[in-house]
Parts: sequence; structure tokens; C-alpha cells
Amino acid sequence: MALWVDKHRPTNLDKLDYHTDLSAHLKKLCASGDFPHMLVFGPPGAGKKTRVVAILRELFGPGAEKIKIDQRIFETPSKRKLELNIVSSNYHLEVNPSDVGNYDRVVIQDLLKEVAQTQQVDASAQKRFKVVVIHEADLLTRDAQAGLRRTMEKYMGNLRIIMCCNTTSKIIGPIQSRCLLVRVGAPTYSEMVKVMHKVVKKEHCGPLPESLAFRLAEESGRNLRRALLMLETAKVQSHPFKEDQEIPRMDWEDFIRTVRVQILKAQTPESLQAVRGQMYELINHCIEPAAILKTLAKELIDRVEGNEIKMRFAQEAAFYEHRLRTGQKAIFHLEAFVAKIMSVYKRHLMSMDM
Amino acid sequence: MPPKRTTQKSTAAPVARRAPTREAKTRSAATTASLYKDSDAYAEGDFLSDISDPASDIESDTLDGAAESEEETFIKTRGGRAKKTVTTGGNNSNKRGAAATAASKKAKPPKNTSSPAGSTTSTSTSTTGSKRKASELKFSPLGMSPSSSQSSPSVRYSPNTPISSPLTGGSDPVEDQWAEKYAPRSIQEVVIHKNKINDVREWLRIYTNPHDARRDPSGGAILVLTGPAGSGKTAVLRNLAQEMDLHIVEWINSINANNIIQRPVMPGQEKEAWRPASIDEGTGFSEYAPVMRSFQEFFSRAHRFSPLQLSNGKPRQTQTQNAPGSLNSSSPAPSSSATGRMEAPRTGPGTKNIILIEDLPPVSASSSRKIFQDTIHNFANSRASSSSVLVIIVSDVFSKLSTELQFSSTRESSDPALTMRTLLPPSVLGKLDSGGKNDNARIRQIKFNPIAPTFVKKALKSLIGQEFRGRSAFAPDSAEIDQLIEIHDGDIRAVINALQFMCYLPSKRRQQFRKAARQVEEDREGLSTLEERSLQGQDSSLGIFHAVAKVMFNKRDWGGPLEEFDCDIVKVPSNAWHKRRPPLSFNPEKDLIEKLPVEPDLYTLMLHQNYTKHMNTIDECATAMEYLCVADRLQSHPSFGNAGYTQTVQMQPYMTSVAVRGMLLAPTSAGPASANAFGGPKKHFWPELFAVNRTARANDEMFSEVAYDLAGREAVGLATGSVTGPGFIPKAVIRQELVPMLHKCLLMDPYRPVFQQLLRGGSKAFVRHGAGAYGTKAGIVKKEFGEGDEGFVEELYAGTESTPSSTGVTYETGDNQGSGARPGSGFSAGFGKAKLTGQQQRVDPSVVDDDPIEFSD
Repeated sequence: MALWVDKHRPTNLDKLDYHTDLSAHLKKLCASGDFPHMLVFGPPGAGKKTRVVAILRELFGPGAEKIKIDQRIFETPSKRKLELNIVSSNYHLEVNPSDVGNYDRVVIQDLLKEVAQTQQVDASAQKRFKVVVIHEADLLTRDAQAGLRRTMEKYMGNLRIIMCCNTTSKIIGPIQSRCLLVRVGAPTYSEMVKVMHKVVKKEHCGPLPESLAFRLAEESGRNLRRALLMLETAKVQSHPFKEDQEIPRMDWEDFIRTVRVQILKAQTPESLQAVRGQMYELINHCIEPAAILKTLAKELIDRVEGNEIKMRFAQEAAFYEHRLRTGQKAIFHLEAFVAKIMSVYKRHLMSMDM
Repeated sequence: MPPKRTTQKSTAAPVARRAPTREAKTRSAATTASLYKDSDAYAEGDFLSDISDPASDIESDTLDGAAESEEETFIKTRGGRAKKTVTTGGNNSNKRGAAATAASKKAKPPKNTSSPAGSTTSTSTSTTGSKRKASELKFSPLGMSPSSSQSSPSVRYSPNTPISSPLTGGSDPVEDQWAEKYAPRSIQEVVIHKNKINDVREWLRIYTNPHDARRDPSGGAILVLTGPAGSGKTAVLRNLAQEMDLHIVEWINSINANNIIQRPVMPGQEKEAWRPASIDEGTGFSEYAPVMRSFQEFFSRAHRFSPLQLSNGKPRQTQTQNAPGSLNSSSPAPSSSATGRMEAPRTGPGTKNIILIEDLPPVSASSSRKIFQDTIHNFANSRASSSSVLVIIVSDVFSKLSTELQFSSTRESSDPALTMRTLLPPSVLGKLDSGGKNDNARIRQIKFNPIAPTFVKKALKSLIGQEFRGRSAFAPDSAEIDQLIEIHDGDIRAVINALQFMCYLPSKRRQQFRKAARQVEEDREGLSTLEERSLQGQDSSLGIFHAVAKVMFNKRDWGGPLEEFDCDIVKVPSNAWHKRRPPLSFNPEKDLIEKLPVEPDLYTLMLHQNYTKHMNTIDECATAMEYLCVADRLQSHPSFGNAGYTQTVQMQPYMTSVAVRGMLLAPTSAGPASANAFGGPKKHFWPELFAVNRTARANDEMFSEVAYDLAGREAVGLATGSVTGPGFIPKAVIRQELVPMLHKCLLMDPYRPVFQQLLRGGSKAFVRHGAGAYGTKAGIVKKEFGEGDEGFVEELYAGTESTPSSTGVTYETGDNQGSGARPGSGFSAGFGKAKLTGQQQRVDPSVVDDDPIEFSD
């Protein structure tokens, strides 16, 4: 039993539903005997990890799917203990070093060194190297990336690295140049609809109305994982599917909508204080501040009239997101953004009156 | 063991014991030096013990015979002996006795030589002092009071080794402190209002008498004495104990830097070295935990001690006979009787112990504080502990963090103030009767007030009378005394210290001071010149209430002329002229930031929490936030890289400055929104952010749980290729996509097999009830603050590190009604509103506003 999104995940390159030429390319690459370091990038829910798993299977056969999770403890130079979950098979190892925040360099170096210094024991293995998959590589600190760069060269003999990230812009140049860059673009609506139909068929849960599938695809923002989660939820909510049934949406996004309403309704200090309370609730629910800001900005831009004010909102959002990432207390920057937006919007309204 | 030697030793003892008869507080005067000495000497002793170990037997023989007067050899032997003692266990008490005797013999010559001289030079004092310390450290199991050292080597309480006599000579720094020398010797001398004394006396009488009908026998009795420093809390207790024949067992922290030895002061007021057995001899460095363990041990012994005496008077008798205190009372010199102001209680059957905790064990870390609280809790709730009473003395110090301190403390370790509220366990706080309702409450607080000037003056007059004995030319005159009293504001210890210091001033400066004081007498304005002198009172720090109000109310001459830019120095472009404001009535850095009572970080948060009410328009809010953001980024500028903390701290003054000045700049020409702009006076609140962060952390744990559930079983050993899991999927996806959707599913169909299999109980409940609960304002706690609310600061921080229980739901369920407003109490995790337990979280309605906004249109 698993969620649909896991259950119906294609496990090898042949079964992938879209980006078929990429799949063919990867297949050839795996068959060629050697294999480069790889940097897989693309928007969330596009299928990066699915492809990575498929590559591993292609490289090592079904053995790569026998995985286990264990917790490893690393020690920083300052004797601080870091715990990190590592997923591994006999042939590969997956980590998400961003879980340990600023100490990722220690993890990267220790782990890679350890893997690299032990050769592949299994003589019957198809490849003599091991693969380390690094998730959320764009969240690696500069230090960690610099450490990685050296390791990549030094241990090329028995180690390959596959990195997954959303954007290459946060990966330093030297690493990019040592990797094969593989872009996994978001699926198109029609591709998503196709996948959804396939899943529904496999699950034997009746016909999926075309328009509903399309609305799900739209609502998910071309994020297939999200779409499938929503699809499953929609099925739980109403089975069989109805053409006009309500699309399940994320609660936090709905809540941000009420924040937007508050902002556009009143631009006063009291209103700002109310918004602060709402922000606190979002933070309470562990919604990433950057996501809050981005979603809110999108909501706001969609709701106001006039190009100039839209542009101004976007500009402020960019400005404060930058500050948010460099600052410490998220609430300050979120609130500053809201205050600024209110101030700008109020002036905008006044100028329209005149 | 030859009895002759023992007697020798005990005669040496009373003189020797005077030095350690110190309270923790007075000790501090000499502490700075002795700390250093200690560590030095300790290393020395350690080293010596290593090299001299094999030879120690022979050496002790030599010592027994010939009285060598060389200190160095002495140390060697003692060091070596101690080492041996420890390693061989308790079966060589004979030898130890021998060494002890040798020690006392040894100790005599230096004393004899130094005493006639009248004054030992400071260097010699320090060397002998350090040697004494070294021997103490190495040698604590020996040198007990004679009876105990003979009877059993396993007795732990032992007086100081008696070689401290050089310290008791004329140059003993502590001896000469008037605050100590002229401390009240009987309850009649204590200059405190009679009612206060009677309160304490009455309570002690009730709870030290097992047959008193008024007592509440359900558990241990606790008396908490609070009040500002120097208000006579300790003096009252000690003198009452003397009057009532009670027996004080006090916990005293080691002054040793690494906290190895604890010295509870036992009946005869001899300070005794007590060394917990658990300490690692080799390293000598121990963490806080062993200290807390020895505290627990001390505590359990202290209150088990007394019934033993009750049932069996005999050992008690012997102890009284040999008790150094009895010798103390007959000690000849008048000055020494002044020091031994607390005569040994004439103990007899039925005497009760007072367990006194004044010198708090290191409880700033939350783990050790927990141990402390548990110990107190157990005491309060066990009937067995009714044989003794516990007295806790807490000074209401609200420590301001000086700039220096800010730099040395981190948020986790900083210890802004230990107040009663944070110190006592909630269960005890809940029952605490702070007076008024029931004077016979089992757990009672008695508050002391600063001593009234007239009382202080009375005490000073008598002190001066004794000290100067009519040589009135040197005696401070009335004007001077008045000045001192005024400066020190009811802190009698400080007044006496200052008085003494003043009397030691060179005559010229003394004249100046006297002149200034007389001038002040005539003209109050002279105080400022007086304050420049070294006899100043304590630094004044702002209360947190005023600190926030100062910025919020933005005191300027609103409506008056705008600040003039000096265009010769700085050319201010005309487009910045709208930022002109009337001049400020204070200097933010000098009058505010330097005097902040809390960390700047917290202060900034408080400004943030409260500023909106003082702004007229959203534009002003935007300006204020703009500067807060800049300040926040100063703290964590990316260019600092991983230099991290130190850099952050160095930037803190700038950060605070930017935040404060930005806040002050924000209101435009109209000034801050007037008090009644939105109706009603403006209340200020503590930052909500702490509670929010706590909830967020609890929820974060739960998200990880969920993630682990989703991945765990699938991944382990199965060839599914599942890619949901902690190592696989970004946190953001779990929080922002997976869980919200699962939440919807669960709400519709909680018994769907897939969820039953995937999620365990805790995480399932979380997904079902927590993930989508928006609009409840759960986890956001608002607490108003007013004057005197400073203790709340630690509470804000206190929960910062606390990790939630496995379900992440429960925090505090009971025991918090009486503890006043605690942020943790009204707080449930973000999904608490809907949680299954059905247990209504108790939220004090006066504390947590349902509506966080305080405005009425």
C-alpha cells in the first residue's frame, strides 16, 4: 500500500511517460560503460527523482532497489553531533545534506571520502563505481560545494555523483562544469492528464472526466506529484469522480488568500497587526517563509488591476525575498513586505481617486 | 591512633576554622583572588601527588617524628597521601589520622610566626592560602571533626583541614570586612521591622515543632525568603536559628572553578569539605551534572540526618562535645567572637535542621534546573521530609546585562536572573502562599523590603561606635552616612562596605568626599559630583517596561522646531528633509541601549511586537519595519559566512542602534499615535514569536514523524522504489503538499486502509487534526507586561530548547494555575485546538487575549 504517487511511479527508464527522448538518451548513457557525474535539475514535481531511481536501476539492476534507511552520526570539528538519515543500497547512497544546515560540508566530505575509499566489493557488479545521490543540492552551502568539487575529481575512480536540484543558479560553476547537466522540464498539461488517466485506470476507480483532469493539472501548477496527490484526495472526497467537483486545495494556500484579502481591504497599522497574526500561524505550520512570500505575492499580483502596481508588487516581493534569505527572523521581513505592499497599494488607491 | 595527637589537633581547630565561617556572599570579596589560587594550587598538588606517591609512607613517618617546617615537603606528603587514600580505599584510616596530625603540627609554626607580626604580607598569605587549598582538594576525607575521623573513614562531612591559621591573622581580608565583622549577633540587633521577624519566627516555630497543631503535615515545609540584596534575609534566618536552637545545614557551591567540591556548612559553622565520591579523581574536571548529583545527595542526607539524631541522642552528644563550635564560643579574642557570630547551637535531642539554599547550584542549564526542581518537588511532597524545613533565600536581583556580559553570553547559557518563579518547580509554586492568606502555610513566601534609612542609620551608628571607640576624628559624620544610605537604597551590606571603603580613603580624598557630602546636605544638586566618586551606588538599569515605553512613546518636542541639520558638516540633500524631526529628548545609545535590561535581540523583538499601536499610518509602519529588517540583516549578513556567532555578537550594538533609531524616526510630524487614538491606554505585550517558534518546532518534529512513517516501512528492505522519505523528499514538499493533502483525505475517510497502514497513531492524529487547523490562533500566546515583570524573560527563553513529547501535543497540563502567566501553559501545539485528548488547555483569560489586537474602532 502506498500513496498513488509512489505506487504508480515508473521504476525504469522504459516506463517513463514523458520526456521520452531524454529517457532514450539516459539509457544509452547507462549502457556505454562509463558514466559521468550528473546534475539533474528542473521544477518540483517534474520527475527528477523518478529518473534518478530509474537510472540507478538501469545501471545496477534490481539490486539498486533493495534499499535501507539508517541514521548516521557525524561530528563537526566543534564536537557537535549531527544526525542524518541516509538511504543506501549495495550500489548507491542517497543523502539530503541540507537537513543539517550549515554543517553540510562535514557531512559531504566525510561521507564521500568514506564511500570513495572503499571499492565496489561485489565482483559481479555491473559497474565498478558507486553512486552518491545528493538531494536538494541547490541548498548546499558554498563551503560544501567547494568541498564537493575537490572530491569529485579526486575520487572519480570509484565514485559518481548525481545531484538533484531545482535550479542550477545556486550551484557553483566548477561543479556545473564537472557534471552532465540534465534538465527535466515540467510535464505539459496533456502529459499530466495522460498520466492521471493511466493511474485512475490502474486503480480501477471509474472514469476520470477530462475537464476535471485538466483542472487538476492546472491547479497543481504543472507539478505532477502534486497533481497525483490531489487526484487521490479528490477520489477520497468524491467517488466516482464528478465533472464539476471541487478541486482539493492546500489549506495553507487558502489561508494565504485570506491574508491577501486582509491586505487589500485595509491598509492600517491594525490591519498590519492582524496580518502578523496570520503570518505567525503560517509559520506555526512550518510553511517556509519564502513560500509564504512567493504565494502571497502571486495572489496579490493576480488580484490588482494595473500593470504599474503589478510590477511594483513583483519588485517588492523580489526585494523582500532576498532580504528574507539573508536575514534571520523571517517574520520581520514578511511583515516588512506586507507593510510596504499596504503602503504602496494605499498610495495607488489614492492616486486613482484623484 | 594515639589520642594525644587528636587533642592537639582539636585545639588548633577553633582558630583555624574561623576563616571558612563565611557566607557565600562575603566570600566573594576574596574570591577573585582565591579562584586563581585554587586552580594553580590544584594543579600543583596533583602533579606532586603523582611523583611522590611511592615515597609517601616513608615521608609520613618522617613527619610524624620531626616537625619539619618546610611547607613544600608538607604539600608533597599530603598530596601523595591523598592519592594513596583514594586508591586504597578506606582501610587505612590510621595512616590518615597520622597525616592529619602531622598537618596540624605543620600548620602551627607559620601561624605563630605570622600572628605576632600582626600583618602578613599579601604574598605570603596567598602562598599559604593556596597550599591550604591544595591540601583541601587532595585531602578531604581526612581531618574530620575528631570523633568522626576516628570512628569511620566513610563519613563525608569533614571540617576544613586545620592549616588555615595564617589566613586568620590580622591581614585576613574577609575578617576585616565590616559587613561581616559587625554582622548582627543576635536577633535583637537585626534592624528589620519586628513584624517581619515575627513572621519568620512564627513559621519556623510551627514547622520545626512536630507537635504543633497548626502545621500542615502533608509534606515538606518550604519557606522562601525573597527581597533585594542586603535586606537582611540571611541575617534574620541565621539569628533566629540561633535563638531557637535550630541547626542550619547549608548548601554552598564550591568556589573552585570546576565545581568539584561542595561544602555544606554544618552545625558548628565550620565550613566543611565534602567531596562527592563520584568525581573523577584523575581529570578533576566535571560537568554540571555531577554537581547536581552531589546536590541531590546533599539534600537527601540533610533531611535524613535529623531523625537519626532524634532516635539516638548519643552520637549527637559526642558530636556536641567535640564540636568545634563549643570551642569557638570560648575563643579569646574579641574580634574572633565577632566572626563566630553564630555560636554553635546547643544541640540536643529534638533539634531540627533547617536546610538552607542560598547559594544556588548552577541551575542555568535547563537540565540541571530540572534536577533542582525535582529535588525540591520531592521534598515538598514527601511526608518523610517533615523532619526538617527547607529555607530558600532568593535575592530579587534583576540583573541588567552590561555590555560586557552581552558579549560573553549566548542566549542558551545566559542567566539573566534567577527568580523564584523560574527556580521553583510549578507544583511548589502552585501551593506557594506569599503571605496574607494563611500565615501557617506549609509552603510560604516572606518578602523582605529594603531596609528603611532610619534603621540603616541606627545600625551604622552602632557600628561606628564599636569600630572607632570614641576616636571620633576618624569617624564618618552624619552627613556622610546619610549620603551613603541614600546612594545604596536600603542595601545595608552595600552601605557598610561603602562606609568602610570611605574610611580607608586617603585623607585628602576623604576631605573632598566629606565636603561634597556636606554640600549635598545643603544642596541636593551636589549629588552628581558625589556620584562621580568611587563610592557610587549600583548602576541603574532601565526596567524593561520603561525601555520599551521610551521608544514607543518617542519623546520629542513634537510640534516644536525641527532638528536643524548642520549643513556645514554634512550636506543633506533637500529630498531627505522630510525625515527631519524635532530633537529627541534622550540619546538612544547612551540613555537606552547601554542600559537595556535584556538582550538587544529580545528588545528588538519587543519593539516589533508593540510598535504598530504607536503608528498613525501604514507608511510609518513600513518605515519602522524597514529599519527592523536592516537591523536583522546586520546580524546575519552573508559576508560573515560561517564566522557565525562572534561576528553576530559584534554587530549587535549596531543592530540595536539601527532598530531603535529607525523606530524613533518612523512617526512623522504628528508624533506617535496618542494614547487614546484607538481607545483606551496602550498595553504592551511580550513577543509572541517565542511561543510561535516553539509550536513550529513541535510541528516540525511531527512533520518528520509523518515523513518517516510514509517512507519507513516502505523503504526498509522492500523493493518498491518508494521515494517518499526523510532522506528523499524535501521538507517543503512534506509540509506544503503531502501533509495538507493527506489531511484532506483523512478528514473525509479516516479509516481508509492506506492511511491505517502508512501512519502510526501520533502522526495520523497530527495529519488529521493539525495540518489544516488555520484560523485558530493556536500556539500564539500574548502576554501583557507591566512594571516588575522582568522575570518573564527567562520564561520566554526557558522553553526555547524544550522538545515536545513524542506526540508533540502536550506541554503542560496541570500545576500551572498558581504560577501566574506562563507562556507554556496556555500554549498547545498548532493543532492543539482540535486534538483528540479532549483535554481543555487551561488558558488564563487575563493573560491570553482571544483577540490579539487591542483596538476598538
